[in-house]
Amino acid sequence: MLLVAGAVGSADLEPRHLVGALVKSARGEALSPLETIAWRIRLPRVLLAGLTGAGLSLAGALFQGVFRNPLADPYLIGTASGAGFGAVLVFTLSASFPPLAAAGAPVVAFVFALLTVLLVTLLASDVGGVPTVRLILAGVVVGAVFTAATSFLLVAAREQSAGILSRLLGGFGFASWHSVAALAAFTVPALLVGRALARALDLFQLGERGAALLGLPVEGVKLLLLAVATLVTAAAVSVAGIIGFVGLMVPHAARLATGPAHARLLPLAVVWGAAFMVLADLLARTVIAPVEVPVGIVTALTGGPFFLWLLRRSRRAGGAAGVGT
Amino acid sequence: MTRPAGRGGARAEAPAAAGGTARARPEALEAADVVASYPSRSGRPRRPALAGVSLRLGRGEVVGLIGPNGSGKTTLLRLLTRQLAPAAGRVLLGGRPLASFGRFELARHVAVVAQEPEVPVGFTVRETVAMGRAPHMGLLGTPGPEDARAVAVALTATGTLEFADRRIETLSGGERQRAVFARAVAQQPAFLLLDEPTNHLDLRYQVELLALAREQAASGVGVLAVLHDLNLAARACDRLVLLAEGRVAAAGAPAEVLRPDLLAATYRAAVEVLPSDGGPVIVPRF
Repeated sequence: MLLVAGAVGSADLEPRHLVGALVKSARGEALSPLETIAWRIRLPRVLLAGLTGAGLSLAGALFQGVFRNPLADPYLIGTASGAGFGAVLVFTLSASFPPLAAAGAPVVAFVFALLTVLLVTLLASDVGGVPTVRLILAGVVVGAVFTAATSFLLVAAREQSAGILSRLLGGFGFASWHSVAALAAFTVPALLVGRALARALDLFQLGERGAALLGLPVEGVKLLLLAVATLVTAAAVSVAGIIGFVGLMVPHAARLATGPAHARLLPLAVVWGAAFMVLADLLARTVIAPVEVPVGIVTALTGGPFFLWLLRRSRRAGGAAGVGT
Repeated sequence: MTRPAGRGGARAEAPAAAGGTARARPEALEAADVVASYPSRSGRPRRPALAGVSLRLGRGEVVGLIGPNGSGKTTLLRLLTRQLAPAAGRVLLGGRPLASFGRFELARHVAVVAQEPEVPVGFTVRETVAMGRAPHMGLLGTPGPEDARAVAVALTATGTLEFADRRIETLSGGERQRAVFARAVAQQPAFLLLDEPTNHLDLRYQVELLALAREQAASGVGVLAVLHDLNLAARACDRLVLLAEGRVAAAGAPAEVLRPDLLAATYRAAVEVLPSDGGPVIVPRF
């Protein structure tokens, strides 16, 4: 999949160019022009897409687990908008305010995303849980505020705004080995933490009180998991823009295949998320080539209907929370 | 009707007596002269929910906690599970203050079947029961053979094995409550606290559940059950503790506690107590 997705594109690459690029880079040999494209552009792009998909799916699964709410998703609960605002803040103001640039887009995005999560949780929390309607409402409202603030920044930025906007809309056109490494530095540890706490996440499904009665340090684990989910979201948004539906749809699909136990669910969601995003990016850069469609549009167009289909299917199977088999 | 779980029903392979929990097990869970009150919104002092209550739950007995609504039963249960700290008095587990126990350590000794517990949607009964092993595995542990065995024993002992692979939200109310009970059994606690476990259950499941509680007691677990149904309490419990307005109004054998004068005073309702072989029978008088 990596090879195929890497091969398809505006330059006629073949899988052998990718392999050649890999082997030669490892040996430090000179690359042919096509291998250079493979190494400099295509490979980082595919890897960045995979990492983003994996991270957003993980974040979605973690949010859903902690909130005991199948509709929680980095996009729907406003986290992505908060992160987007933080990233845009860095892009627009870094020239006039150097400390912001030094902090880096992922870090500032994380701060604002965390702020969003805290705000939304605070607004939506009820005794013993976070009800769907309130969660989504709070997420939409907080997200809308941040989106408006982002728009204001974009308007104020004038000549820069087109570039920033296309980054924000979601895409991997800016992929470089540097961005791959940056995203991996956030995503890989997050995967490990998520996997290690998979059983604790299962206990959350007993309700916070039920989990506490089994000895789980509920507040600490909740904070850690929310921070991890927020961190991955922020990292993904700051390198690839706001890409919706992945964090909602992929964990759902994975749950249909594995059941709700997170020890199996999280790994599968991560793998499927990566695969889905690589395919979505492949579509985004080929359907009306040479024009690239922002990948966020592709995920929304495929993700929306797919999600509705999932919802219908699981209802027919009798799942109370979209959990059918 | 005789007591549901005659001693013959108690089996030797009872989970609490099994190996792996060879560590010193606390002999009693007790509240000593505890006072508890919830903060009022206006900041004005309120009548305490518990005003000096003492209760000792030993291993192997079933104690029924009865009393009218608002008498402090649930508050006492919250103190005994450290969900609430006493304003005065002490809560001790095996002579040690409850506050000195680690979270998982406490959950290895005390299990709770909550009133209308939330069930984990999508999980099978077996997976749900396995969650009871969390206190033994800790935060990052993975289940071992000991855990698998405890789950199997809990499923068998509670008669939930036959639907172990069904998703828990597809069960009937009675089956679901048994699955929740099985989860508590898998915890292999020394003490089992039940908060109105028979609420919303029909007669058959009420009797079944309390029979299961008696079986646990027969295997050495101390069971404290908050019960509304006095007749059920009279038959299923070795001792009763009657709470009224945050104090113990009476404690002792069912026949000693369930007296018409006491009940009339605490419940503010006229009742008649009829003697029977299985214990006193309480009927309201209109």
